[in-house]
Amino acid sequence: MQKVVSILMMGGVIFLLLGGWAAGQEKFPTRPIQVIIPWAPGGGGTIDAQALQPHVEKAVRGGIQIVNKTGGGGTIAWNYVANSPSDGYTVGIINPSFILTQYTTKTGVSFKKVDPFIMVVDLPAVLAVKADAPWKTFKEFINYAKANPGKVQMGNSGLGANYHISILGIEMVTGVKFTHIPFKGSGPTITALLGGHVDGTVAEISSLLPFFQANKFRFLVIGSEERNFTVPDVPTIKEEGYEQILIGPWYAYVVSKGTPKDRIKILHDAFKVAMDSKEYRDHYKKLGGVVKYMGPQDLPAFLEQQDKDLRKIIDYSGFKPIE
Amino acid sequence: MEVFQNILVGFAIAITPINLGLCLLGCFVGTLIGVLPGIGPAATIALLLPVTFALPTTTAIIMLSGIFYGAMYGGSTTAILVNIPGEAAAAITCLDGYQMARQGRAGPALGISAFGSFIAGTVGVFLLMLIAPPVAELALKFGPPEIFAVMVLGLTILSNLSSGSLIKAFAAAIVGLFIGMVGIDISGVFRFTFGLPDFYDGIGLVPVLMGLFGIAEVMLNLEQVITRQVFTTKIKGLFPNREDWKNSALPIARGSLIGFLMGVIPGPSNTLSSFISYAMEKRFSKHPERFGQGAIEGVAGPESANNSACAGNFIPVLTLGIPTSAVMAVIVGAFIIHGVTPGPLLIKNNPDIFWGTIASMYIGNIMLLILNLPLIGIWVRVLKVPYGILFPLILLFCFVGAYANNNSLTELNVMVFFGLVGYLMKKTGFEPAPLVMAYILCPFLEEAFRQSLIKSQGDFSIFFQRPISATILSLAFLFIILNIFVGVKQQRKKLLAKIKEEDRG
Repeated sequence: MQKVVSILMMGGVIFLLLGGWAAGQEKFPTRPIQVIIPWAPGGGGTIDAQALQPHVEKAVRGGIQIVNKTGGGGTIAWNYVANSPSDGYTVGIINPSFILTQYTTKTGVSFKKVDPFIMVVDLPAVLAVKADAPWKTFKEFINYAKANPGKVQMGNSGLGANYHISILGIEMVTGVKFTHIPFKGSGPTITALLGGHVDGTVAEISSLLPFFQANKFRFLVIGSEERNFTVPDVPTIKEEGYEQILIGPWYAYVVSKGTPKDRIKILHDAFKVAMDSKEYRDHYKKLGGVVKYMGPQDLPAFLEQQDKDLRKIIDYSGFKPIE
Repeated sequence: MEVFQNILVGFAIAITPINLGLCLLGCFVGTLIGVLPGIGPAATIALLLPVTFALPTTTAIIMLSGIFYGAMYGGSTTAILVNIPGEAAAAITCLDGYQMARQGRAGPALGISAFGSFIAGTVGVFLLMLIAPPVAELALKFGPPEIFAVMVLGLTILSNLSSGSLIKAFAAAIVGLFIGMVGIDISGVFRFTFGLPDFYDGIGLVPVLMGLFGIAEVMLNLEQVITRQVFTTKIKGLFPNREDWKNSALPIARGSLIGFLMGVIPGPSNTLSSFISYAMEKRFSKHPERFGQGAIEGVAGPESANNSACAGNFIPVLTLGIPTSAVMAVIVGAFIIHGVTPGPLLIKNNPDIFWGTIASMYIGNIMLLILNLPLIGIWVRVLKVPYGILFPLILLFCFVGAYANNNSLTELNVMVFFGLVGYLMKKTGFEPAPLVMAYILCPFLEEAFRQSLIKSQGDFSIFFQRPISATILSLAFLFIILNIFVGVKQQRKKLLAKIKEEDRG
């Protein structure tokens, strides 16, 4: 019996020594990397992470654990990421809501508290109305809304949420006034539009495209700089003669501030390989997502610009969190 | 007879060895997580999604759907055995299922819930196959005013959920409505969040349920160690007897129908349909006083309803690509990650997926029945485990489940808090069911109400001008009148009997 115990102890000591040795080698990662998703499973963010997952795992030769931590409009997860140890093992996903929640909640995280290391995709938003709606073009729609202030009812995915701000952005550049009807998320908003309970909505192209293809919705305008390859006939806001505003989510991945540069590089390289994979590109080809790379050098400036642009819309609309 | 040709093709797809095998796996995993409280089908499907990457799309969807309806089979098990709903939809099963177990009739309770689930599941799939597209079109007619009307109808059945004092039931319901209001409302106002970000999206359903039912039950039982003999003495039969079947036949039929219809409407359909089925059975029953005391109808109806609601749930997803619940959102995610866009064109573009999945549901329901019946014998034996071992285990499962739900410690505190609340409620004669029901309905009720009024710019007539909402609201009104009428009649009877007695004496 004693022999067994001593062998076990010996084994334990060797194990510990090996562990110390491994730490000395600065190998990363030695345990699974957590990717924290602030939204419920099934949503765009989770799916993006899941599409990247197998390729990232292969590249880092380690496990990726996707963890959904919902609540607080995403701020619970973002606080968790920003306050996690800066060791590269806790990765967060962000989209424009990350910037917005700084102003729409009291618990929002400043974008300066994270190190963004890669942007992977840009999903433009589109303004959709029913296919049998009287408005054939964005101009007709805006002219009608201008002539009848408050008469056009726009469904949004929640007051202060991404697409509510997008719709407010359209109000800002065109000078019209809509009636805003909030729903919980894009899904119920789309259902309401299908049933004709709202006149229009703005949402990311991937969730609206199936209804466009089935001839249920008409797209009036797209919120990206360029036209989208899935709907080449839909004009951009600028083409329609208004100030360009970019609406629609992009996804980027971040770690907490102060994570060692070499670890950020390992993560960045793995995610880069994953986003360049054929599977990932094919995945977004059907959804209308533009796979778009931005690295750790350019991302802070990009976030700064987003912050400025979104702030402008929020200031225009006077939206404030109400306690 | 295009449908039958299509479904035959579907069966040809569903009975390939790999599809059969993974359907079985899905059903098995579903049963398992259904039994475990806290860990729900949405989280499980999300977790297993990456495993399906290598599989063909149809196979993946077959397996993931199996998890969903499998969970509805398993959800009743812990509700009946230890008074903890394995899924929210099984909360109502606690009322009579647990009482049956206490009377040594856990076997028949589990049996009828398995058979009821099977029958309703099959009926649901059958209806899904035949009338999915027109039903989906009809469901689209349900805008905010109509959803509000449905929720009001739901609230009017509250009085039938309680077997005790009506006033206490309403008090509990008001507390439930209040809890349902915690969080950010649709206009961005933070309500009763105490500055805690964890409460921004409302108080989680899972910890509340596990606290009110599970933790409270453990605490109550700790007081009564001496009476444990009652519980473990005799287990009378493993399967429902002839009388049980006679009592359950109609509830199962009604439950199947209600569940299917409710499943199509956006909202908490699985849970709501089981609550409505329970209330309806009590209403129709000749012996409503037996409800809450171990009436088998109170298990058969709701368990059937939540299973056929599953089939109803699939309709908006398969025909329109719209998820009406959290689980369905994950299934839609699964479609997308497999490169198939769920939407109005799914049936046309991917008939193999549509018909293969539907055919697999028939097979899956049979598998679940075969899987669950032999398990009954094992589950019943759980009741023989000494309390000293069983209770710590129940607590352990509750804690693990509540944490796993959203990886949050706050949810554990919420669970413990509601455990205390549930304990005090039981001690003072309040029942948790009306509270839970109101709490689940509240967010939908309020949201639909406010959306309707924004739409009509504050004009209340919107609820009565639209035919569907007007009809449903008048039904609700009739129901209340009927309740008052019946109540008065019963009071009268009681008083008359009293007078007679006094005359005699």
